[in-house]
Amino acid sequence: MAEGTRSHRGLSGWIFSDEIDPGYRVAAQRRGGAPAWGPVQLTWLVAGTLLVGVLLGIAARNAAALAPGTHEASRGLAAEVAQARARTDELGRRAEELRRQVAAERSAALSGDAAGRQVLDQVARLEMADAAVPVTGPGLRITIADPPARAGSSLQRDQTVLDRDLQTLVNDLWSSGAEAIALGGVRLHPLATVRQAGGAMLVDNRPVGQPYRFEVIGDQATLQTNLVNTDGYGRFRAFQQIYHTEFTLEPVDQLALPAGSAATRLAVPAAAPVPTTEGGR
Amino acid sequence: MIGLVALVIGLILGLLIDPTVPSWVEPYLPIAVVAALDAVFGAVRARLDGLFDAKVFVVSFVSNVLIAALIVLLGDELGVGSQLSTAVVVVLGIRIFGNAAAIRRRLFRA
Repeated sequence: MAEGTRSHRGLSGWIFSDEIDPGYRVAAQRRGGAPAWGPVQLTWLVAGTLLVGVLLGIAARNAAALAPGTHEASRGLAAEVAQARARTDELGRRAEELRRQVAAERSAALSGDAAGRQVLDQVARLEMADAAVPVTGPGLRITIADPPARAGSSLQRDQTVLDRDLQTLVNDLWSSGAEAIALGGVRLHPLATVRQAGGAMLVDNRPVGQPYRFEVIGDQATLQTNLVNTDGYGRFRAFQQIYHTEFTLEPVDQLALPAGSAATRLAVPAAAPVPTTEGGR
Repeated sequence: MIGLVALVIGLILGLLIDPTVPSWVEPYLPIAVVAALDAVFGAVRARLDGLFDAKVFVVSFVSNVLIAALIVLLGDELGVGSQLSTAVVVVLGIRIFGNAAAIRRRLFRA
């Protein structure tokens, strides 16, 4: 045990003691206390300090060369993201243009007779249900945001709102009489999803930042009265009180929602002569 | 004095020749710098104490750098490289502080 204590004292003693490196003392003893001098000493000194200088120089050079490299890499990635985003936007615009062209051609071809107009009506109804066309109208704007993070947290905001809360609210909005919904500027179509991937909220697979902004088109009075009684509304009111989650609801006279990007197909039962139901979910 | 001049010359040389550091050496460079600083501070202190010996300085510098690099290399092989480099930096850092404090006491008598 004594051996152990001694070695323990030795380690901490070596680290924390103010003793000079024992090598110097030993060397001085060997010289008999005389200061070291002479050509050999000088050679050693010059060689050693040169070596240290070269090492420090290389390290400084290397550190300087390394920093802009990482900086450049992140800048390159950001540029790539911006480029991809611009291309997505441009393709979206082109798709929108082509869609308008198709719609124009279709109405020109079908508006000649009664049967054609009936088909056109049905197409318009289905497009509305499928969120395939941009819509405008009065409605509500609902803003939801996580509260600012508590002190000491590394996150910017405390995460209080989960994807399933937003999903519940979306469903409640539909059942309250919403005709069209956009979340964070992304139109919700029948196949759109709201889900979380790590810290990010993905609406129809597009990342949506905080605050989460619902834009809901529908009759304002009906929407508000119905929504207040729903599970989702109660949930967010409770979040507001318990976690200080931001949750505001305001009527807006004019909302403009973009078209969604659904890839729904109309399924027609083989037996039914005329499909009257709207597109499958 | 001669040592300082040689240090500056070496520094300029290192900055000028700009050798391409192989990628496998890169992780050991910071450790080597800390080990070199430890040796330099030890040497300055010994000089002030009148105990300086250039041979001890060179040998302690080279062995410091090599042992530090070896420890980190061993840690990398064992999968605890970052912990071992932390350990090396902590130990050498404490020694640098101790030597710097001794130099300060000797220079300023405080």
